[in-house]
Amino acid sequence: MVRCLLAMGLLSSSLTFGQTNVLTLGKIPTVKAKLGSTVTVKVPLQVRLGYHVNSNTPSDKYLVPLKVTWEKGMLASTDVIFPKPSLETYKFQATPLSVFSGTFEITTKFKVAPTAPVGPMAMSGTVSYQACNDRECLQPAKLPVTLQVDIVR
Amino acid sequence: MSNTLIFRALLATAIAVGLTACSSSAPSSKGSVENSPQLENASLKPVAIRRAAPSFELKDANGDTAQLADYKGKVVLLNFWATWCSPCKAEMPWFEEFDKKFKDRGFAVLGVSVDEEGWNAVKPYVKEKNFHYRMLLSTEAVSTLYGGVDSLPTTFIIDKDGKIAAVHTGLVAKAVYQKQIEDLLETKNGALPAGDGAAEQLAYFRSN
Repeated sequence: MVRCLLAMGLLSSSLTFGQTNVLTLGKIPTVKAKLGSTVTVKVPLQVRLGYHVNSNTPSDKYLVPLKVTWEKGMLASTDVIFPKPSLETYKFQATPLSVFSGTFEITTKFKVAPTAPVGPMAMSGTVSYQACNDRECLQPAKLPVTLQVDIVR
Repeated sequence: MSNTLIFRALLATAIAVGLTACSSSAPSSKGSVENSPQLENASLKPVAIRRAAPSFELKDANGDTAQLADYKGKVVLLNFWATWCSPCKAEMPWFEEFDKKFKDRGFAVLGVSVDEEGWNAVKPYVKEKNFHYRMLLSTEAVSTLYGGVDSLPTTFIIDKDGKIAAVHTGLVAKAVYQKQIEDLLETKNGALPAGDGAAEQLAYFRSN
Protein backbone atom coordinates (compact mmCIF):
# COMPACT_ATOMS: atom_id res chain seq x y z
CA MET A 1 0.00 0.00 0.00
CA VAL A 2 2.82 2.39 0.87
CA ARG A 3 4.41 1.74 -2.54
CA CYS A 4 1.07 2.37 -4.20
CA LEU A 5 0.60 5.69 -2.39
CA LEU A 6 4.14 6.72 -3.29
CA ALA A 7 3.59 5.89 -6.95
CA MET A 8 0.35 7.83 -7.09
CA GLY A 9 1.95 10.77 -5.31
CA LEU A 10 4.78 10.78 -7.84
CA LEU A 11 2.30 10.58 -10.71
CA SER A 12 0.33 13.47 -9.30
CA SER A 13 3.40 15.61 -8.65
CA SER A 14 4.89 14.87 -12.06
CA LEU A 15 1.65 16.00 -13.73
CA THR A 16 1.65 19.17 -11.67
CA PHE A 17 5.31 19.81 -12.47
CA GLY A 18 4.67 19.22 -16.16
CA GLN A 19 2.00 21.89 -16.09
CA THR A 20 4.40 24.60 -14.98
CA ASN A 21 7.45 23.48 -16.94
CA VAL A 22 6.82 25.00 -20.35
CA LEU A 23 10.38 24.69 -21.65
CA THR A 24 12.08 21.33 -21.30
CA LEU A 25 15.58 20.18 -22.05
CA GLY A 26 16.37 17.29 -24.38
CA LYS A 27 19.19 14.83 -23.92
CA ILE A 28 22.68 16.20 -24.50
CA PRO A 29 25.36 13.58 -25.25
CA THR A 30 28.62 13.73 -23.32
CA VAL A 31 30.91 16.29 -24.92
CA LYS A 32 34.38 15.10 -25.95
CA ALA A 33 36.66 18.11 -25.58
CA LYS A 34 40.30 18.08 -26.66
CA LEU A 35 42.67 20.32 -24.72
CA GLY A 36 43.05 23.71 -26.41
CA SER A 37 40.39 22.99 -29.05
CA THR A 38 37.03 24.57 -29.79
CA VAL A 39 33.95 22.37 -29.31
CA THR A 40 30.41 22.92 -30.44
CA VAL A 41 27.51 21.88 -28.20
CA LYS A 42 23.86 21.81 -29.20
CA VAL A 43 21.25 22.23 -26.48
CA PRO A 44 17.92 20.75 -27.62
CA LEU A 45 14.82 22.40 -26.18
CA GLN A 46 11.11 21.77 -26.44
CA VAL A 47 8.32 24.27 -25.83
CA ARG A 48 5.03 22.84 -24.63
CA LEU A 49 2.31 22.60 -27.27
CA GLY A 50 0.28 25.80 -27.54
CA TYR A 51 3.02 27.93 -25.98
CA HIS A 52 5.89 29.99 -27.35
CA VAL A 53 8.94 31.66 -25.83
CA ASN A 54 10.29 35.01 -26.94
CA SER A 55 13.29 34.69 -29.22
CA ASN A 56 16.72 36.09 -28.37
CA THR A 57 15.68 39.16 -30.37
CA PRO A 58 12.10 39.94 -29.28
CA SER A 59 9.92 42.21 -31.38
CA ASP A 60 9.20 44.58 -28.52
CA LYS A 61 11.67 46.27 -26.18
CA TYR A 62 9.56 45.31 -23.16
CA LEU A 63 9.62 41.57 -23.87
CA VAL A 64 12.01 39.23 -22.07
CA PRO A 65 14.54 37.69 -24.50
CA LEU A 66 15.70 34.09 -24.52
CA LYS A 67 19.21 33.93 -23.08
CA VAL A 68 21.82 31.30 -22.38
CA THR A 69 24.55 31.84 -19.82
CA TRP A 70 27.36 29.46 -18.88
CA GLU A 71 29.33 29.41 -15.68
CA LYS A 72 33.02 30.09 -15.96
CA GLY A 73 35.17 27.00 -16.01
CA MET A 74 37.65 25.04 -18.07
CA LEU A 75 35.37 25.54 -21.06
CA ALA A 76 34.84 29.20 -21.97
CA SER A 77 31.79 30.09 -24.03
CA THR A 78 32.92 32.03 -27.12
CA ASP A 79 29.71 32.17 -29.14
CA VAL A 80 26.03 31.35 -28.68
CA ILE A 81 24.05 30.77 -31.86
CA PHE A 82 20.27 30.79 -31.88
CA PRO A 83 18.14 29.40 -34.71
CA LYS A 84 16.11 31.71 -36.92
CA PRO A 85 12.99 32.67 -34.96
CA SER A 86 9.44 32.50 -36.30
CA LEU A 87 7.37 35.61 -36.74
CA GLU A 88 3.97 34.66 -35.39
CA THR A 89 0.79 36.69 -35.11
CA TYR A 90 -1.39 36.20 -32.07
CA LYS A 91 -4.85 37.50 -31.39
CA PHE A 92 -3.59 39.78 -28.62
CA GLN A 93 -1.25 41.74 -30.88
CA ALA A 94 -1.58 43.04 -34.43
CA THR A 95 2.14 42.96 -35.17
CA PRO A 96 4.00 39.61 -35.37
CA LEU A 97 6.17 38.46 -32.48
CA SER A 98 9.60 36.91 -32.84
CA VAL A 99 9.30 33.57 -31.05
CA PHE A 100 10.39 29.97 -30.76
CA SER A 101 7.91 27.14 -30.42
CA GLY A 102 8.00 23.37 -30.77
CA THR A 103 11.54 22.00 -30.73
CA PHE A 104 14.70 23.97 -31.43
CA GLU A 105 18.41 23.95 -30.61
CA ILE A 106 20.75 26.55 -29.23
CA THR A 107 24.37 26.08 -30.22
CA THR A 108 27.28 27.17 -28.04
CA LYS A 109 30.94 27.18 -29.02
CA PHE A 110 33.42 26.61 -26.20
CA LYS A 111 37.16 27.08 -26.09
CA VAL A 112 38.76 24.33 -24.02
CA ALA A 113 41.50 25.56 -21.72
CA PRO A 114 44.87 24.01 -22.66
CA THR A 115 45.56 23.57 -18.96
CA ALA A 116 42.28 21.82 -18.16
CA PRO A 117 42.61 18.59 -16.17
CA VAL A 118 42.02 15.55 -18.33
CA GLY A 119 38.97 13.49 -17.43
CA PRO A 120 35.26 13.91 -16.82
CA MET A 121 33.79 17.20 -15.60
CA ALA A 122 30.47 19.00 -15.57
CA MET A 123 29.64 22.40 -17.03
CA SER A 124 26.60 24.34 -15.78
CA GLY A 125 24.49 26.87 -17.59
CA THR A 126 21.07 28.48 -17.53
CA VAL A 127 18.46 29.13 -20.18
CA SER A 128 16.38 32.18 -19.22
CA TYR A 129 13.03 32.45 -20.95
CA GLN A 130 9.55 33.84 -20.77
CA ALA A 131 6.63 31.89 -22.21
CA CYS A 132 3.11 32.74 -23.28
CA ASN A 133 0.24 31.10 -25.11
CA ASP A 134 -2.38 32.96 -27.09
CA ARG A 135 -4.20 34.10 -23.92
CA GLU A 136 -1.73 34.40 -21.08
CA CYS A 137 1.91 34.74 -20.13
CA LEU A 138 3.87 32.97 -17.43
CA GLN A 139 6.45 34.58 -15.18
CA PRO A 140 10.01 34.68 -16.56
CA ALA A 141 11.75 31.42 -15.69
CA LYS A 142 15.16 29.76 -15.71
CA LEU A 143 16.02 26.26 -16.91
CA PRO A 144 19.28 24.79 -15.59
CA VAL A 145 21.49 22.96 -18.08
CA THR A 146 24.33 20.62 -17.18
CA LEU A 147 26.83 19.38 -19.73
CA GLN A 148 28.82 16.24 -19.09
CA VAL A 149 32.26 16.86 -20.54
CA ASP A 150 35.09 14.41 -21.08
CA ILE A 151 38.36 16.31 -21.50
CA VAL A 152 40.95 14.43 -23.53
CA ARG A 153 44.49 15.12 -24.78
CA MET B 1 -11.00 4.48 4.93
CA SER B 2 -10.14 1.37 2.96
CA ASN B 3 -7.05 1.05 0.78
CA THR B 4 -9.27 0.94 -2.31
CA LEU B 5 -10.89 4.24 -1.40
CA ILE B 6 -7.52 5.92 -0.81
CA PHE B 7 -6.27 4.61 -4.15
CA ARG B 8 -9.37 5.88 -5.95
CA ALA B 9 -9.07 9.32 -4.34
CA LEU B 10 -5.41 9.63 -5.35
CA LEU B 11 -6.15 8.41 -8.87
CA ALA B 12 -8.97 10.95 -9.22
CA THR B 13 -6.64 13.72 -8.08
CA ALA B 14 -3.95 12.71 -10.55
CA ILE B 15 -6.48 12.52 -13.41
CA ALA B 16 -7.98 15.87 -12.47
CA VAL B 17 -4.54 17.48 -12.45
CA GLY B 18 -3.78 15.84 -15.79
CA LEU B 19 -7.01 17.08 -17.31
CA THR B 20 -6.27 20.59 -16.12
CA ALA B 21 -2.85 20.39 -17.71
CA CYS B 22 -4.37 19.18 -20.98
CA SER B 23 -7.06 21.85 -21.04
CA SER B 24 -4.55 24.64 -20.41
CA SER B 25 -2.37 23.68 -23.35
CA ALA B 26 -4.87 24.37 -26.07
CA PRO B 27 -3.26 25.59 -29.28
CA SER B 28 -3.66 29.19 -30.29
CA SER B 29 -6.36 30.70 -32.43
CA LYS B 30 -5.62 33.81 -34.40
CA GLY B 31 -7.66 36.96 -34.95
CA SER B 32 -8.80 40.05 -33.11
CA VAL B 33 -9.62 39.46 -29.48
CA GLU B 34 -11.87 42.49 -29.20
CA ASN B 35 -14.23 40.96 -31.74
CA SER B 36 -13.60 37.37 -30.72
CA PRO B 37 -16.70 35.25 -30.94
CA GLN B 38 -15.36 33.13 -28.06
CA LEU B 39 -17.02 35.16 -25.36
CA GLU B 40 -16.65 33.46 -22.04
CA ASN B 41 -19.53 33.15 -19.68
CA ALA B 42 -20.10 36.69 -18.50
CA SER B 43 -22.00 35.69 -15.39
CA LEU B 44 -20.85 36.95 -12.02
CA LYS B 45 -20.46 34.71 -9.00
CA PRO B 46 -23.67 34.52 -6.98
CA VAL B 47 -23.53 37.06 -4.14
CA ALA B 48 -23.86 34.34 -1.50
CA ILE B 49 -20.61 32.59 -2.46
CA ARG B 50 -18.41 35.63 -3.05
CA ARG B 51 -15.43 35.91 -0.71
CA ALA B 52 -13.84 39.11 0.48
CA ALA B 53 -11.01 40.43 -1.68
CA PRO B 54 -7.80 40.31 0.40
CA SER B 55 -6.92 43.71 1.77
CA PHE B 56 -3.60 45.24 0.79
CA GLU B 57 -1.46 48.34 0.97
CA LEU B 58 0.62 49.08 -2.10
CA LYS B 59 2.50 52.11 -3.37
CA ASP B 60 1.33 53.92 -6.46
CA ALA B 61 3.49 55.73 -9.03
CA ASN B 62 3.47 58.90 -6.89
CA GLY B 63 4.66 57.05 -3.81
CA ASP B 64 1.25 57.26 -2.16
CA THR B 65 -0.20 54.25 -0.39
CA ALA B 66 -3.27 52.65 -1.89
CA GLN B 67 -5.49 50.38 0.14
CA LEU B 68 -8.34 48.31 -1.20
CA ALA B 69 -10.42 49.62 1.70
CA ASP B 70 -10.17 53.09 0.10
CA TYR B 71 -12.46 51.79 -2.64
CA LYS B 72 -15.23 50.39 -0.48
CA GLY B 73 -18.59 51.21 -2.09
CA LYS B 74 -17.05 51.16 -5.57
CA VAL B 75 -16.80 48.46 -8.19
CA VAL B 76 -13.08 47.78 -8.71
CA LEU B 77 -11.29 46.09 -11.58
CA LEU B 78 -8.02 44.86 -10.08
CA ASN B 79 -5.67 43.84 -12.89
CA PHE B 80 -2.33 42.10 -12.33
CA TRP B 81 -0.07 42.71 -15.33
CA ALA B 82 3.54 43.16 -16.45
CA THR B 83 5.30 45.13 -19.17
CA TRP B 84 6.54 41.85 -20.69
CA CYS B 85 3.02 40.43 -20.97
CA SER B 86 1.56 41.08 -24.43
CA PRO B 87 -1.96 39.78 -23.66
CA CYS B 88 -2.03 42.16 -20.67
CA LYS B 89 -1.19 45.05 -22.94
CA ALA B 90 -4.06 44.15 -25.25
CA GLU B 91 -6.52 44.64 -22.39
CA MET B 92 -5.09 47.80 -20.85
CA PRO B 93 -6.55 50.29 -23.36
CA TRP B 94 -10.00 48.83 -22.56
CA PHE B 95 -9.39 49.40 -18.86
CA GLU B 96 -8.41 52.99 -19.59
CA GLU B 97 -11.65 53.37 -21.50
CA PHE B 98 -13.73 51.77 -18.71
CA ASP B 99 -12.05 53.95 -16.11
CA LYS B 100 -13.07 57.09 -17.96
CA LYS B 101 -16.52 55.83 -18.91
CA PHE B 102 -17.63 54.51 -15.52
CA LYS B 103 -15.58 56.61 -13.10
CA ASP B 104 -18.51 58.86 -12.22
CA ARG B 105 -20.72 55.86 -11.50
CA GLY B 106 -18.55 54.45 -8.72
CA PHE B 107 -15.99 52.44 -10.64
CA ALA B 108 -12.19 52.33 -10.48
CA VAL B 109 -9.42 50.43 -12.19
CA LEU B 110 -6.29 49.45 -10.25
CA GLY B 111 -3.40 48.14 -12.33
CA VAL B 112 -0.98 46.07 -10.28
CA SER B 113 2.35 45.45 -11.97
CA VAL B 114 4.44 42.41 -11.07
CA ASP B 115 7.51 43.66 -12.96
CA GLU B 116 10.63 42.72 -11.01
CA GLU B 117 12.35 45.91 -12.22
CA GLY B 118 9.63 47.92 -10.50
CA TRP B 119 8.84 51.49 -11.49
CA ASN B 120 11.90 51.63 -13.75
CA ALA B 121 10.03 49.29 -16.08
CA VAL B 122 6.47 50.40 -15.37
CA LYS B 123 6.64 54.20 -15.47
CA PRO B 124 8.10 54.53 -18.99
CA TYR B 125 5.52 52.10 -20.37
CA VAL B 126 2.57 53.80 -18.68
CA LYS B 127 3.80 57.18 -19.88
CA GLU B 128 4.35 55.92 -23.42
CA LYS B 129 0.82 54.50 -23.60
CA ASN B 130 -0.71 57.47 -21.78
CA PHE B 131 -2.64 55.42 -19.23
CA HIS B 132 -4.26 57.44 -16.47
CA TYR B 133 -5.81 54.86 -14.20
CA ARG B 134 -4.03 54.17 -10.93
CA MET B 135 -0.99 51.94 -11.16
CA LEU B 136 0.45 50.05 -8.20
CA LEU B 137 3.49 47.87 -7.75
CA SER B 138 2.82 44.41 -6.38
CA THR B 139 4.74 42.65 -3.67
CA GLU B 140 5.22 38.91 -3.35
CA ALA B 141 2.94 38.93 -0.32
CA VAL B 142 0.09 40.60 -2.18
CA SER B 143 0.49 38.33 -5.22
CA THR B 144 0.34 35.35 -2.86
CA LEU B 145 -2.80 36.71 -1.22
CA TYR B 146 -4.39 36.78 -4.66
CA GLY B 147 -3.54 33.17 -5.45
CA GLY B 148 0.06 33.52 -6.59
CA VAL B 149 -0.72 35.23 -9.90
CA ASP B 150 1.36 32.68 -11.79
CA SER B 151 -0.02 33.68 -15.14
CA LEU B 152 -0.90 37.08 -16.51
CA PRO B 153 -3.16 38.86 -17.00
CA THR B 154 -5.12 37.95 -13.90
CA THR B 155 -8.05 40.23 -13.18
CA PHE B 156 -10.42 40.40 -10.25
CA ILE B 157 -13.76 42.19 -10.49
CA ILE B 158 -14.62 43.34 -6.99
CA ASP B 159 -18.12 44.39 -6.00
CA LYS B 160 -19.20 47.40 -3.95
CA ASP B 161 -18.94 45.34 -0.73
CA GLY B 162 -15.31 44.49 -1.43
CA LYS B 163 -16.07 40.93 -2.49
CA ILE B 164 -14.71 39.12 -5.53
CA ALA B 165 -17.51 38.86 -8.09
CA ALA B 166 -15.41 37.42 -10.93
CA VAL B 167 -11.86 36.26 -11.63
CA HIS B 168 -10.32 36.11 -15.09
CA THR B 169 -7.01 34.47 -15.88
CA GLY B 170 -5.73 35.21 -19.33
CA LEU B 171 -7.05 37.45 -22.04
CA VAL B 172 -10.81 37.94 -21.91
CA ALA B 173 -13.12 39.56 -24.44
CA LYS B 174 -13.74 43.24 -23.79
CA ALA B 175 -17.49 42.66 -23.83
CA VAL B 176 -17.23 40.26 -20.90
CA TYR B 177 -15.56 42.87 -18.70
CA GLN B 178 -17.98 45.56 -19.78
CA LYS B 179 -21.01 43.37 -19.10
CA GLN B 180 -19.76 42.45 -15.64
CA ILE B 181 -18.88 46.01 -14.70
CA GLU B 182 -22.24 47.29 -15.87
CA ASP B 183 -24.10 44.52 -14.04
CA LEU B 184 -22.31 45.39 -10.82
CA LEU B 185 -22.94 49.10 -11.27
CA GLU B 186 -26.56 48.82 -12.32
CA THR B 187 -27.92 46.31 -9.85
CA LYS B 188 -27.34 45.52 -6.21
CA ASN B 189 -23.88 44.02 -6.73
CA GLY B 190 -24.93 42.28 -9.91
CA ALA B 191 -27.53 40.15 -8.15
CA LEU B 192 -30.34 38.97 -10.35
CA PRO B 193 -33.45 41.05 -9.74
CA ALA B 194 -36.37 39.15 -8.28
CA GLY B 195 -38.83 40.69 -10.73
CA ASP B 196 -39.49 40.30 -14.43
CA GLY B 197 -35.89 40.95 -15.48
CA ALA B 198 -34.59 37.68 -14.05
CA ALA B 199 -35.67 35.51 -16.93
CA GLU B 200 -34.03 37.82 -19.47
CA GLN B 201 -30.79 37.92 -17.51
CA LEU B 202 -30.71 34.18 -17.13
CA ALA B 203 -31.31 33.82 -20.86
CA TYR B 204 -28.42 36.20 -21.51
CA PHE B 205 -26.08 34.27 -19.24
CA ARG B 206 -27.03 30.96 -20.82
CA SER B 207 -26.54 32.28 -24.33
CA ASN B 208 -23.11 33.66 -23.49
